[in-house]
Amino acid sequence: MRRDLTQLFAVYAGLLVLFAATTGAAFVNLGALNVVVNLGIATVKAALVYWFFMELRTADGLVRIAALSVLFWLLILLGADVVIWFTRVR
Amino acid sequence: MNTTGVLLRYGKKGGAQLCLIATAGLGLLFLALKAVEYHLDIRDGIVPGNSSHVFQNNSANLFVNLYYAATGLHAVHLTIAVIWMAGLSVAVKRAKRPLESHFHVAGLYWHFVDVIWIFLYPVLYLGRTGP
Repeated sequence: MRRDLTQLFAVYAGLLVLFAATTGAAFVNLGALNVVVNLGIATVKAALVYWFFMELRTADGLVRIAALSVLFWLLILLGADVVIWFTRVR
Repeated sequence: MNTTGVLLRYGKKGGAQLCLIATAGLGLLFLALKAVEYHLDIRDGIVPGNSSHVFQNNSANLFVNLYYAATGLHAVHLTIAVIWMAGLSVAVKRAKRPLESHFHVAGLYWHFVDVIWIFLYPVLYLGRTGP
């Protein structure tokens, strides 16, 4: 039990460090890079939550494929957004 | 896996109950802070729909609508999660049959709402367009 709880709290501490990094990065003006840094850190945080808290780490292959297919679908939707962004007449 | 799940697996129902109460309580605290935020925004005339009397450009108006839609939807999901956690905190000691799969699904739902906020927070609160 101790080992399980230690791992959970280690992940939690990691999430708090990344949260501090996101907030800290907001005070540095990187121009358009701010969005990239913010979303990059958010993606790492989400990956930690999915892997440990939502148990993809111990899930079987089918569940992992389902999770990956959701990610793929999300990329299609975001890709559609990008197409609109680059092709819309302004 | 989460702390409640670990404690339940080892039969520590009291500890699991405390975790669930703490989770529901922190969720409520979040919702209370959100209510204060909405109150301050609405007091300043920043309302869902049309805030063009406050902002000069249409982009800010669009942002406010997106802000209300996204945080509002998140708040609805969180309200469901808080009620679910509060219900489970009662059920954890009373239930005669094992509720492990129920706790499992509730935990997945809670973390799904969490992941949404992980993205909403930097996009809506930390975005900047100038120095």
